Amino acid sequence: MSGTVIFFLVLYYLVVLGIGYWAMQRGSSKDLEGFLLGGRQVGPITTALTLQSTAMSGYMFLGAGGLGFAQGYWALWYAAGDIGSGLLNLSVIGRRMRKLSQMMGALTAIEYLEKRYPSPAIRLVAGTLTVFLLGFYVLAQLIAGGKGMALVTGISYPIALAIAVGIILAYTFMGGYLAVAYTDFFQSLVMLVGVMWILIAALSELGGLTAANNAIAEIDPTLLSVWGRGLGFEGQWGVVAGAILIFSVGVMGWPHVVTRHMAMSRPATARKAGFWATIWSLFFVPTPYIVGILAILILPGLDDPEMAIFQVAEQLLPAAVTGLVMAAIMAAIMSTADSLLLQTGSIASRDIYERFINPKASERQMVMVSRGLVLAVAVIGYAVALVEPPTVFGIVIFATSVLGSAFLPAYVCAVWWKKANTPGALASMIVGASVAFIWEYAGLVNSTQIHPMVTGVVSSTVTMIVVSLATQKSSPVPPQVLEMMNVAAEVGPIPERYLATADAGLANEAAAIGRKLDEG
Amino acid sequence: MANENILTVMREQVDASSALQRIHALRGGVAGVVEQKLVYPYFRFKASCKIPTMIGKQDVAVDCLVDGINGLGATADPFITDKLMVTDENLLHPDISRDEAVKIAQRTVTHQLGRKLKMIAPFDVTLEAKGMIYRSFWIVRIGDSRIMIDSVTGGMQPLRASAA
Amino acid sequence: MFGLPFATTMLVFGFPLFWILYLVGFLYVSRNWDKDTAKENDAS
Repeated sequence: MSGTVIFFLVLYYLVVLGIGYWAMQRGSSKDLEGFLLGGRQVGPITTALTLQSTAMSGYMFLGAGGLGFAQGYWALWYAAGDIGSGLLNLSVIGRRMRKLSQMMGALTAIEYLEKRYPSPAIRLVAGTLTVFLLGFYVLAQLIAGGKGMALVTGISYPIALAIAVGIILAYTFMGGYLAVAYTDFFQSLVMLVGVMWILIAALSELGGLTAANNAIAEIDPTLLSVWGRGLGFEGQWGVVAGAILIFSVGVMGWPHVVTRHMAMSRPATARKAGFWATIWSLFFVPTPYIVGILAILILPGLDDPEMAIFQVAEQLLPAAVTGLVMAAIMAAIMSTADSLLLQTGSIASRDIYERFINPKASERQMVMVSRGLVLAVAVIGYAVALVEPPTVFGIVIFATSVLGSAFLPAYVCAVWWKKANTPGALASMIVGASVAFIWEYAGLVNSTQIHPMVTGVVSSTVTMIVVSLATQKSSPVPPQVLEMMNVAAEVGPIPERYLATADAGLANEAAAIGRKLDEG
Repeated sequence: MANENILTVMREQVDASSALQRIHALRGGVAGVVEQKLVYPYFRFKASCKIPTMIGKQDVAVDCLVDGINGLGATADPFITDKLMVTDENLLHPDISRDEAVKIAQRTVTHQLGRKLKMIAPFDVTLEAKGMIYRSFWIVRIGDSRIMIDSVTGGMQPLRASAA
Repeated sequence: MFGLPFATTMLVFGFPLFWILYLVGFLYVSRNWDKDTAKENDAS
């Protein structure tokens, strides 16, 4: 059985490589140029899928499935917010952030924060926090990749982990061609089909959803409730609130996600991408949780809940399909890890190294720093994943809570609140991160029944408001920034009809010309 | 004192009367007045890159423009150029130096490549300075507002008075 | 529904419904975005 699976796994990768090769060949350099200039080349569906495909990662396949298996329908509280995360992000800050970041000429989401809240401290704090927390995310992917590889190939975990890490590093250092839009799109489709297939196979094995739920009720009716196994979370609205917020509102504070708004080609893309992202999420987000729940019946003796989805696939799907689906899942994990590592490397080299350590750094030196950091994260990640692997769920929830708490007010207020100033942003980042971190670390969830995400976001938001208002006189928002915010929001004395038809691509020139005309 | 300069500009597709027509179509009835035409500077570079791919290194050439006043870089679609005579009063001079522009261009191209290709690799990027290229904008006044219209695309942007 | 208690059914169907309504609202509110026909020029 393992042999067939491996065969199809390898076959899958050959096909993907083949697609990449074909795309390169027929493309020639003209197409590559087009691709590089693109944004234009990537339409709304591909944008939405790329947006969502980074969500198809270790968390979905291990974390979500594991939670469903362990707690039953309680797990869906996490899906509740997640379904709307892409839409929320795009609708609330997408377009404005794109315009503002373009006018400021920011290349990374961290540089953007410094331009909006001018101060080196912002860049340093934001950059360091992000590198640190994204490192945790990477760890989650490494563990997922290692466990998945071990399960599929039958190789022992330490070696499987090493292979997974090796592949991820290779991907990150040489990758590129595998990331061409075609292959991403293809992989996303395979994955969606695969996951749906697993769900359908599970449901038909159990005789339908109603029959399955009845059977679960026989084992333990509390698994069907919204309060978790044994009603463990009964009445804990603070934890429920956290679960909803963490993958919805909190996502607006993830530098590695909001950075994609900066790359958006035109505002209209946001609308269509929001549409497709929601359609996708409606199908894809709840599915891993539900498969996890169904696994309660299919895999009663399961040791590691986080392996639920993999093992359901192995058990129910024909070997060939299992191979393909496993391959797609592994590809998703590795692609997510690759994205995260790239971001981390980029932030470390541009926002920390070039900005603070060596301002005269050449592009080459920065690439070296990037690579160095990626290697360091991979090595440390490997060590931790090997010695004492936490659950994927645990890591992701932790990293997400801290990230969301730290950055949500900063990113949202950057485009929506003109009074949000530098001290406010700085304080909110530090307070949010600290509160979420300490709350989680000290296990305060248990005594207070409030999720770290909730306390984190509330404290950072309150801090932003209070500190900004208190320091308005001493640290006002610079006029150029206000001006750019107005343009991004299309607010001002200019009649609506002009604003509606304004060409966003000319905003920078307009600002410059406006200034020159006023001076001269 | 008005100096005449012969400059390389992006080919104009929209002339003064077309510009006014666009405004008219929006406003419906009230006429705008073309106050002047301003010519905006960009540093132009041609970036030759060797991209590592599965089938060996591919040579890719990309145009890169650096906004002469804001210092913002961007890779650019190909465009057609013409020569135009422009007097000093219509000409905007760059605020950034050539050296700064080179650095910005390098940074922009490398960043674009890295982001698009999703890899950390020291691409071989060779920049060739291609001088300055300009783009004309029509400055139109309607009542209290001013609007600029791109002579290349016809795109419009309102001009605001900055905080006094 | 599906053998689930009422609260769970609300959880399972309520949030998706909420997001669908949000999407519809968003598409309506943003119907004017990017109405202009002028192409966005990368050379800016």
